[in-house]
Amino acid sequence: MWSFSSDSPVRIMEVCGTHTHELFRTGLRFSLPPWVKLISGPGCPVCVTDDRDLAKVIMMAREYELTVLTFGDMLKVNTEFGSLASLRSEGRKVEIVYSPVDAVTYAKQHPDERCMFVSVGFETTMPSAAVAVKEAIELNIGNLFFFVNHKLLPPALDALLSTGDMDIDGLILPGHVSAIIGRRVYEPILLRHGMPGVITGFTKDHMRTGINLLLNLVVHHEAKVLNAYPEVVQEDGNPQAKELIEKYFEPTGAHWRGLGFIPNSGAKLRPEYNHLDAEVAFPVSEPMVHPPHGCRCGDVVLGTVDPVDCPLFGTVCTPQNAVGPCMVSSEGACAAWYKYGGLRHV
Amino acid sequence: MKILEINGKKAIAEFLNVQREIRLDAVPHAKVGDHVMVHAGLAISLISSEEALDIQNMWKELGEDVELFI
Ligand code: SF4
Repeated sequence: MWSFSSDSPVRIMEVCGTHTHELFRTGLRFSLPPWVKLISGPGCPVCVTDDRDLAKVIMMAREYELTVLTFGDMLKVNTEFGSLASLRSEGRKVEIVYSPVDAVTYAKQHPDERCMFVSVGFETTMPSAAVAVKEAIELNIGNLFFFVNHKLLPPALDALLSTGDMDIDGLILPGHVSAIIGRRVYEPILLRHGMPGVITGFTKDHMRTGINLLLNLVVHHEAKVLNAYPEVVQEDGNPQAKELIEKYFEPTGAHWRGLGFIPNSGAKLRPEYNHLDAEVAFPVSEPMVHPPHGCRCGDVVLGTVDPVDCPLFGTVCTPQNAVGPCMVSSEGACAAWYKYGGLRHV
Repeated sequence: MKILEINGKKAIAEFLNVQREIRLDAVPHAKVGDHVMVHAGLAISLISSEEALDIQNMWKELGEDVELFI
């Protein structure tokens, strides 16, 4: 029989950064019993983007005088090669877009600029990026290139659960990624690791239900994958969205902060769209990078430490002066802990 | 977001008085008046009006600037 206490709690990982923030913001995190410990996972796309990939973007923009189009969260992430924000202060154009299709519109309106859209995100963002690629082809936009750095969640979960030092009893699985990929895809991975998981939405009620269902599975040792968000998540996901992804992208190995290199855990443009691939059009040498000194973001995304365990948290590293991406990104665990949790373990 | 107007695969949608142009490529059966979940400018799922209301209420309660998030 399980017996849980605050010394030996049930350890639940909320995989998705949006869940991390919503659990804090709605106050649900603070109303859970002390024998339930929530651990933030790797589901923050900016946080898991490897420094070398961002450094490459910066090198390409400098060397080939590119206009960079990006989601706002990427702007302040620092590498040894600078950040996109610092690129801007050097005089390069760095524009924030709300959606990948906005990048197509921008390139169309600025035919004298060579533009690169930095396409990051999990499966949730990929259909939208695919629509942008489609649109760039249909409109015959010749001055837009895609730096594709998408990440795929199931292989990352497999890698995460395969690392020996994971001490997790169950997973809260992301509602939005699952809207695209469905429930079934998790099953072989979680069952192989004997790990229960519950796909959960983002309102307080959704999250409460998801956590209750997951606790029930943990207590009864049932390694099942339940869908507590059936109004949005279908068994096999969204077929049109998956079709868009498959038409324009294919799996490739990817570097993840914290998790290292994982085969088939990323996506790149299919070879027939090579002419739109920024890495083909603007080759640069592989940069040598090191994570920011003292930053434990790699361990934070693995859930092996809490943000407050980082010696820089809240002192040297704050949202106004972020050292690592987990504090920069609005989905980052360090940002959530700083904004809602203060300096204590919660 | 609630779909106000459809023009091919593009649509105008609204959430808490903020309007955006969105794409409907992944929800081809969406109609004017339907509620959709939108991510990075693309509707990824139809949702019920109850679900949409729940999400709206959550945002109203939180009082954050919705323009920054959608
Ligand atoms: S608090 Fe800052 S320095 Fe520490 S792990 Fe988080 S992002 Fe890195």
